[in-house]
Amino acid sequence: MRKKITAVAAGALLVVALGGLAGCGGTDAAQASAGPAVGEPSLMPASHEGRFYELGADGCYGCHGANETTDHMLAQATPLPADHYVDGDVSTYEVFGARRECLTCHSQG
Amino acid sequence: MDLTRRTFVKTTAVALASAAAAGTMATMAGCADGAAKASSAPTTPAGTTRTVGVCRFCGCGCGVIVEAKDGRLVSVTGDPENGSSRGLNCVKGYYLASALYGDDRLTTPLIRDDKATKGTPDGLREATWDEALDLVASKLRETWKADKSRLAFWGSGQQPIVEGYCQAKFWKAGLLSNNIDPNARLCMASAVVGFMNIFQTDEPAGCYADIDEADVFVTWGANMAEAHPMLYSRLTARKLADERVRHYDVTTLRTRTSASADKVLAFKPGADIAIANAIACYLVENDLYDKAFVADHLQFKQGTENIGNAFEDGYDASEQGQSVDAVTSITFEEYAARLAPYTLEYAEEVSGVPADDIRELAEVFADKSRKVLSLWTMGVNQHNRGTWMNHCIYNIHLLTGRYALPGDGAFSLTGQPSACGTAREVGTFCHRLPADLVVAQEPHRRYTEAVWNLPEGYLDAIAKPGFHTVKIFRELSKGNIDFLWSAHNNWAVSLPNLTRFLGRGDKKGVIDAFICVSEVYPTLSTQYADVVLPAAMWVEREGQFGNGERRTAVFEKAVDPPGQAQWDLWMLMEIAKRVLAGEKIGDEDAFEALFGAWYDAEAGEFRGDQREVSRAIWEEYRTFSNPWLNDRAAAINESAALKMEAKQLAPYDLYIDNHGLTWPVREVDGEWLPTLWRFCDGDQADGFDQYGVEQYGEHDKAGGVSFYKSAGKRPSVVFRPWEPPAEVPDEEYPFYLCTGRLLEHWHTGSMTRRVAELDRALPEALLDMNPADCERLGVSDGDRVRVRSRYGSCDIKVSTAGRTAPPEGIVFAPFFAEETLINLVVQDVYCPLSKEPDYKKTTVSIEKI
Repeated sequence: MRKKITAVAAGALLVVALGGLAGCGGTDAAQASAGPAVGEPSLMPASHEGRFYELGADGCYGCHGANETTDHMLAQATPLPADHYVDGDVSTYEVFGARRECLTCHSQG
Repeated sequence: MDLTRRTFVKTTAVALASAAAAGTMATMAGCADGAAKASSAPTTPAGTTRTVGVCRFCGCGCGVIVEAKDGRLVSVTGDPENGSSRGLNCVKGYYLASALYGDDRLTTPLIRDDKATKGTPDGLREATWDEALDLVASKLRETWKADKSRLAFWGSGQQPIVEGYCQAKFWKAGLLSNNIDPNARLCMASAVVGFMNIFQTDEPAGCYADIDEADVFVTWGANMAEAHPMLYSRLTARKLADERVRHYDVTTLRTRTSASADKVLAFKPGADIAIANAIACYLVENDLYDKAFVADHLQFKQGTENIGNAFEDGYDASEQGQSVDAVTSITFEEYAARLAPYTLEYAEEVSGVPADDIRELAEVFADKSRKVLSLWTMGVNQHNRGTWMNHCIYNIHLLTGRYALPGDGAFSLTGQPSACGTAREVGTFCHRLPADLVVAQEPHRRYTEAVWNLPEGYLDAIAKPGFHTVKIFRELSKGNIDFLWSAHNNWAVSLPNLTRFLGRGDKKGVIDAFICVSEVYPTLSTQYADVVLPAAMWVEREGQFGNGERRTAVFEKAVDPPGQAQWDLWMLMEIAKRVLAGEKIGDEDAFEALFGAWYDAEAGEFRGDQREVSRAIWEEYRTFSNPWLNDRAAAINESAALKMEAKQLAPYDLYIDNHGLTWPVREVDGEWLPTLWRFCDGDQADGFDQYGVEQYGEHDKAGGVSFYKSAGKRPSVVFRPWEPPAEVPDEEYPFYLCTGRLLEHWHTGSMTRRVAELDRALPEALLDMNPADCERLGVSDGDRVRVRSRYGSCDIKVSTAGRTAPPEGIVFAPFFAEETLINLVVQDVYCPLSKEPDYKKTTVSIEKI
């Protein structure tokens, strides 16, 4: 699993447009409604259209996930919070199974 | 039971792994130390208070931790201690707090003086509570005294349990009226009638942990990815955890749920019964069924056939309509003979699904080395033969001995957060009383009279069921309803055939009737209201939901409602007090007899805080399932063999302490132990139904299960034939229209569309179409089209890149958007047995505008 994710991540770094990425684990204050912010998952920006369908959670991990040297592989991406990893441990570099259906919480904005 | 023990050990491992992860989630969410103490609303170092809650949207019933500061919610996070969701949630649930703070919350009672303004945003003026309550009560009382058949209450599977309980008690015992029905009629009625026909008890035998255990998933007419997101996340997690796990999606159109399917069996609308019968036929003819299970547990029946469709208002009362529930016993051999015409080839001809694919699915059911879990929702229930299709799924599982076993079962998923807990368990239907009792059965009325301390025979006045949902609104449209009160729903958007029910044809009943709407936001329904009562929303009061796996959970009050908005229960008490003024039950004041234990009518206030009031009502309600708490009830339970304790509920506070419990909850040596797998023999402490089986069932039967609530302990396999949809496409109306809900918006969007992020994610309703159909009609993505049926029309924008991918000849639209109002088009034909409308198969024409 880890190898697969890493490989996809490397590919993703090459092909993803870099601008305006938002991700998991926090709220973009500029986008938020007047209501509360804590715990509300960010929406995906328009540039992500179709990405999850094509690549699944690995496609998200490629920018928002951690590897041995960083907690998120694309500088502008929001890092996945630790609770999205197996055993809540970022160093597993593996997304907890029930968190891999990214669209359940991170809709296309 | 070796299998069960082994399965449970594995389940525990899964649960512990999840709990470990969830514990970490809790830490990340800042609630690691808060969940257990939340019921006492502890204050955090940040000055916030934390309370335990449960999501108020779909039937998953995800647990949440609610944090508030300065009288306002500041966060909603997953509750790792809730056994249903284990810290998971979906985008709607995470944005729940924002849903309370739309700019236009209703905060003041409103009255309409000029009925001519109905159907417009105008015409409502502010009023005092006294003026509004006096007006509603006077209209209800006036109608009640004049002609009880002309009043109705339309409730909801979103109504909290104690509120639904009091509503039903007021309507059934206070007004002696059965004209009360919930919107659960629109989603779960077919499942309910299926349960009652087959098992004589309305409940799923399994639980959500089955998803973590199954080897093969079969989704029938279910878009779980959008409609039950948390459960779908668990399904995909299970699939990822073991590459041998398979998923078959049996559907009329590809959805997000199809993405995880190894095979999609796309069938022509209405043909699912032919597929299910072909699978059953294959199993029987090839000797692939579970003979021991059949011999130990099952009985076989057939029922009335060629039952037509409920197009006409008089259908229910017709000879045909009156005959639909009839069944007769048959032998297994006779059942096999009825199945015989359903060859794989015939099923292919009817459904369009290749015979080889149907055979493959049949072989999946035949392979007893693997556990198979069927999951279904509205594609099965909202069906002109919805009850029959429920039967057909159970038939397959029962024939193969796959029911009530961990990971191996048939699971009817529930649409709303308390469709089970309130609509079904409390019994807010026109034919029901609490706890599976029905008005038509004399012992059931006697038992209810005992719990409610009514004179013997008092409820004989309601022995005949009242109007079901479609009947209520059909009668309203004909001018035969003078008083309607709705709460926790938005009927003017969610009902089918709105062209008729909103009076846009030649009917004006909705204009003439007096309509009271309890609401949190202005909706299309409030535009038709004579009085609008502003309600406290979700955790602005304490409440309770019962979710799709029999889990009852409490959501604590976290903040006050805005302005003058009030707890629905207070509105109910104040209206009941006024309507019942001067009325007697026996020698006692009627209101005092029914509600005096928790409401002081003279003072106009509850006898205690919301926790104490909820507890008091719950204790009365749980007497239905704890008969020994009432001597008179206990005697009837014994003499009539009602087995009421089979659905035993626990004392109120335990549900808070445990973040929800699945019933039956058994008291064992002072501890209360929940049940995860009904009718499955095993240790209660491990989640099995030990005490139920010991008391009423039998040990050592095939599969280690005992269906002790079924007649003769034998569930019924009932042969149901394939009969065509109510309408089939023709030259004038060449498409099937299917409607449903999508992830970001809850039902009619009255709450979720007020959350900026959710609105942005799904801003408008689109008509999903097949590209070939678009080309043929000369329409492209973004074009507006007029969708027209025999019932009405609406305009909508076309998409070929929407959430669903329909085959040629089928189109899909969600129903959340009131500006589109797709239900103007949808037929109000319903399953003749369950009276649940078929939202999935209206034939329509489409033209570019």
